Amino acid sequence: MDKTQYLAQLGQLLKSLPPDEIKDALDYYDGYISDSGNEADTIAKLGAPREVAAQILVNYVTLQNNAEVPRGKGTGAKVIWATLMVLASSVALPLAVAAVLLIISLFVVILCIGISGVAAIFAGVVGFMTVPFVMFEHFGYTMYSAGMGFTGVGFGLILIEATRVLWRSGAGGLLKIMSGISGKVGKK
Amino acid sequence: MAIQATGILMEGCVLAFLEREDTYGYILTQKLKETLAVSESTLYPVMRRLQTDKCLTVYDMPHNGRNRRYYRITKQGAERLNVCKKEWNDFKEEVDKIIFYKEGHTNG
Repeated sequence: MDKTQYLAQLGQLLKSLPPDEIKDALDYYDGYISDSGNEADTIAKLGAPREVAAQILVNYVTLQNNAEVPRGKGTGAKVIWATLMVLASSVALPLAVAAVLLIISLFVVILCIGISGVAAIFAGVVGFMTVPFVMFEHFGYTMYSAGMGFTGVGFGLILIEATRVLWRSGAGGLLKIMSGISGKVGKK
Repeated sequence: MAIQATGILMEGCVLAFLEREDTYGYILTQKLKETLAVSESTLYPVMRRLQTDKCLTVYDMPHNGRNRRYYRITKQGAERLNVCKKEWNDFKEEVDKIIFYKEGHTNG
């Protein structure tokens, strides 16, 4: 990013401020970058335009609140809103990443329950299959195998049903939340 | 330096530099950076605040085909600097009392 691009981005972030405030800030940073004699290095040291803009905006809002003179026509709320948006953008991204990871892990957990259900049914069926081999020799063992088989299949069916319900309510609820959020963002 | 200079202390340092000579943003930032933990973008809001409070005035000087914005301390700025000096002295004494177990000079 060169100086022109950097200042353009900064100006864009400050656009809710009065024009003379924007000009003052852009003039300052224009001069600052020129005076440093190393455009690229200074732009890197300054950090993202968002960070520089945040400091300017916060300072402006603070000064406005301390000023004894009445505020200009309706700039207050707009600038405060813009300031919050600039400040939030640095927090929102990591938060969004965390939310996505959380949702993914939720679905992985549901999937795991389903897989263990299938495994339990498989184990149950295998348990049954041993029954004919031992049926006439060891009555106790036969009963044990059959019981374990029934338990496995039953447990598996319960887990699969649970997965089905969780998946449906989880995905459905999530879709509802997502469409709610995107609806709100879209409206803005 | 690990201790951050903010608010009145930062203003005091800026005004102290300007009391010696008029200068511009880049040089002022570099001077502050020699001793204090400040970032490249710390100074602008401080200068804007001091300007709003009429502690300094600005004027332009042509330099390499453009105007360089210089800052000059005002009478109000000099008064603010004196307040900063006093505040800093009081703060220093109070902190010294705590961390070095020093007796206070005024009332101990």
